[in-house]
Amino acid sequence: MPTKSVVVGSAVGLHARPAAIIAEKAGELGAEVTINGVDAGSSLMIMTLGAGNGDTVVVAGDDQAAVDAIAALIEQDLDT
Amino acid sequence: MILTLTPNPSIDRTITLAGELARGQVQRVVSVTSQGGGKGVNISRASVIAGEPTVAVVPADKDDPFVTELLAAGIDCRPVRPAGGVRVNITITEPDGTTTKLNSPGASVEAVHLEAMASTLLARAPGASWTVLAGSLPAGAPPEFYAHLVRRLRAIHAKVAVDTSDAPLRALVDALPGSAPDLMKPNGHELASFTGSDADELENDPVKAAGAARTLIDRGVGTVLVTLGSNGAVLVTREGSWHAAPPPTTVVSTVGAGDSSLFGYLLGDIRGLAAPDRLALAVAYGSAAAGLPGTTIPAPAHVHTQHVIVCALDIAIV
Repeated sequence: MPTKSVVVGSAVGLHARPAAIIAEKAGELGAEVTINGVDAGSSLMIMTLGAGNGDTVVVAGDDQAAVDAIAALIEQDLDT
Repeated sequence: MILTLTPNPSIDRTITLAGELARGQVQRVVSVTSQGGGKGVNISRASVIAGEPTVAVVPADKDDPFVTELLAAGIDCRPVRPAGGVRVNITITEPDGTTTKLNSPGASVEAVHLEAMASTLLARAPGASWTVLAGSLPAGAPPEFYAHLVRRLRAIHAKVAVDTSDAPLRALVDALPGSAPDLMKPNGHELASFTGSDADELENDPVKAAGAARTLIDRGVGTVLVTLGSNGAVLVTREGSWHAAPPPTTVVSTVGAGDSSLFGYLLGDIRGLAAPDRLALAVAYGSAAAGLPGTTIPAPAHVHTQHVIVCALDIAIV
């Protein structure tokens, strides 16, 4: 299964706004993607990770393009 | 860190038979499984699986198999002086689904054992986000044990959650507001046991359940999470009340579902989620647990919040 380790780029970590943006993107992609084992399509589950700025998380899924897309979002600062 | 106290833990042993249980006969057993149980222990188990630090305070000898199993499961376990060995509850299951349960009473505790639990908990509570008092009390303990402990924990500004039933629950409610915890998690039946409402009516009507829970808020309790089985859960705070309906779930075992719900709520609180989101997480965790066999505690990967529907029941005008 394609996996990718990425560093969280958002200053607030994977919290409210960044988590919502990532979950929305995962929903659009339609493929199952996880972040540290939790469903990337759920902003609440992303927030339960408590991942802060600079933390490394693992993105995984069956679809390489979807994994890359979610990984790229995590690396950005989404809280701007 | 979530600190849990399980004053009356048990080793839950499940014996699976190949045929009917035959009284007075010698029978072969297909399998025997054993797991340390108790409400606080379940919450600590969920915490370890979710990667949230936890400490479980349990009355048990350091070399009790109960402690060995908890440590093997990765639970930071603080055994305190017990009155005896951890009691063993036996479940015998037959192929047709018949189950026979043999629950042992456990050793009777004295004041010294209760104080050992209380002092260990009070020493650890300042480092905890939440301190959870959960489950029944051992034989010999006064029903007011939790009520007194909440008072002492509140005095050192610990955030306290209580999940219990029967006499300890009634004693806690009787001692409000002095013993008011930050969070109570009754189910519909437990809520009905002291509000005088009909239990089935509360389980089926979230508005009535919220109304009954509101009486606890009025008497000083910070937040009430009422689990309503297949009808989800209701959350009542000073700011308002919400109902969350669970996603369609194929129920395999409801054992441990309430504990998982409470953990979901606490995790949401620790991560700074808003009240409706904490409720959604609680219901998603409870539903995930109900879909898993036995007391299996869900991992975050099993938990799905998208199909949980939260609606506001009322917003209090402050």
